Amino acid sequence: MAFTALDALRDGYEVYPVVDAIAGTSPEAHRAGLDRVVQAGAQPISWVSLACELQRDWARLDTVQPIVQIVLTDRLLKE
Amino acid sequence: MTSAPVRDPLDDHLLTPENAAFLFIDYQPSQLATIRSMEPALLLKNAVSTVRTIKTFGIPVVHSTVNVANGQGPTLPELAVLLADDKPLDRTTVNSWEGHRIRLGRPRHRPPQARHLRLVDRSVHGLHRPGRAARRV
Repeated sequence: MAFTALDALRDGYEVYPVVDAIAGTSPEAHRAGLDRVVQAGAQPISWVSLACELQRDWARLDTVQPIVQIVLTDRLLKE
Repeated sequence: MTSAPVRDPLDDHLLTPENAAFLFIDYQPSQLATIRSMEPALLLKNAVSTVRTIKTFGIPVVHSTVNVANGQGPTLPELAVLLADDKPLDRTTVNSWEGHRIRLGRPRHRPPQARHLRLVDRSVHGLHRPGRAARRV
């Protein structure tokens, strides 16, 4: 992830690493990779936060049912 | 309850389904086997939830794998089934950006040093939509 993110940032893209859907060979390796891309300008995000940011408004009915299922029913309320 | 007015999804400074692309890189058995920063089972669950979310919003996906042609296992089945419409692009480079020369669409703020770069991979050119400001998520 880190090399791709660094190249994408250099090419002018905004980068949002999904920090809890990415992992490393040690806690230190994971942290170092994220720190490196964040210092280069990446903006860390969690998968739940990503889902909420994309949904944005619970009155957007086209996607609200599957997103509630994915985030709440299948994960947060179950675990 | 009525919905709030929708802000311009291309111009929004937050992520929207219209201004983002998703790069999915190396969720393969040999990678999962080396994970020591969290429980591999939780990582897989989080990746599945992320991909289900991305697909719900119809966000374009670049599906990249490393070294499958040389014997590495392909994308984990729990994730591959969600990405049936996104054919994996296999590469040998560690860095997927170097391997595919991905062009996602117009960056929002093209830095001066990138002015002369034109990164085109015909295999993913369908992702390019005029006006789309692409972001890796």
